[in-house]
Amino acid sequence: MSERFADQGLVIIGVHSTRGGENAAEFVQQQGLPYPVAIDIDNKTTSAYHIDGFPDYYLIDRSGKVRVADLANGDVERAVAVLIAEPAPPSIHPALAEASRKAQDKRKRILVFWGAAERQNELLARMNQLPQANRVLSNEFEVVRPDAVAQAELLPLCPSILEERALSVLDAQGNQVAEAIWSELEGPGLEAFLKTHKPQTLDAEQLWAQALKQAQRENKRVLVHLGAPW
Amino acid sequence: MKLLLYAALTIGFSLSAWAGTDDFQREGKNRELKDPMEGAAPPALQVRGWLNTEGAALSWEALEGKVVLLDFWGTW
Repeated sequence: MSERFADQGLVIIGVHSTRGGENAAEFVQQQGLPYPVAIDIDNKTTSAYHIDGFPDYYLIDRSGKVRVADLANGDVERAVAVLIAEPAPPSIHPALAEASRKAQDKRKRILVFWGAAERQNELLARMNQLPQANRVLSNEFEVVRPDAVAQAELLPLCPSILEERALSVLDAQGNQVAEAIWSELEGPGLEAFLKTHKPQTLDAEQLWAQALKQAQRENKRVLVHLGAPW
Repeated sequence: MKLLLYAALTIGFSLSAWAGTDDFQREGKNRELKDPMEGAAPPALQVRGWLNTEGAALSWEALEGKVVLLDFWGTW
């Protein structure tokens, strides 16, 4: 199978158990396994994936998400063929890549500054004057300040009136959620815009109910950490 | 007791039905832990070493755009 799909973007990674790991190299060589093999340490990786038997198969799709956790052994080839046939998602612009990664990790959104550097500086200075500016700028938004070249390349992502645009809010995947032109950000407009488009918070009651249910099922207790998630 | 068992079965069933919109066959115990992994980024591969990579570690960033099949196995 590794040969059949190799040039179509399939990567097979073997994860060898911690137990017997010292023999893995010899086995791989003897069998002539052609694909990368990782050797688990202290069962950390098998625990993280909740492995309960060998072999167990997990499939990650082209968007980098787990698609099937513990795929039935007999269905591996069919599932791989289906995922291989899917188009790769448009890759995110390099100017947004790091912000997108951080935003996904911390449930933030991305704030893109447009226009000349001087105007961007002024706007950022105003943001720093806002009440709770620290929370807004470090916990709610990842700030991206593309240079002129990157701005031109990012335009198709964020269609708008070019001259006037000041700020865009993108979700963590880089899709535009909202945008503002300069005149909308005057006075209290800036704070209102940021407040309206900050990331959505999780519903505490829903989380609580989920945790209780899971704890009951697995005979565990619930540890509640009250406070900010950062 | 019967009612409790029924409730537990219903919850288990609705969780596994909710996990995917495809018809791929899944298996194994602990589906309630495995199902929530689907749709999320895969956990890091914490390993003591790599074979067949000339010593380099593979990262999920480097595998972007690829379909990755993780094959958990063992020999002893």
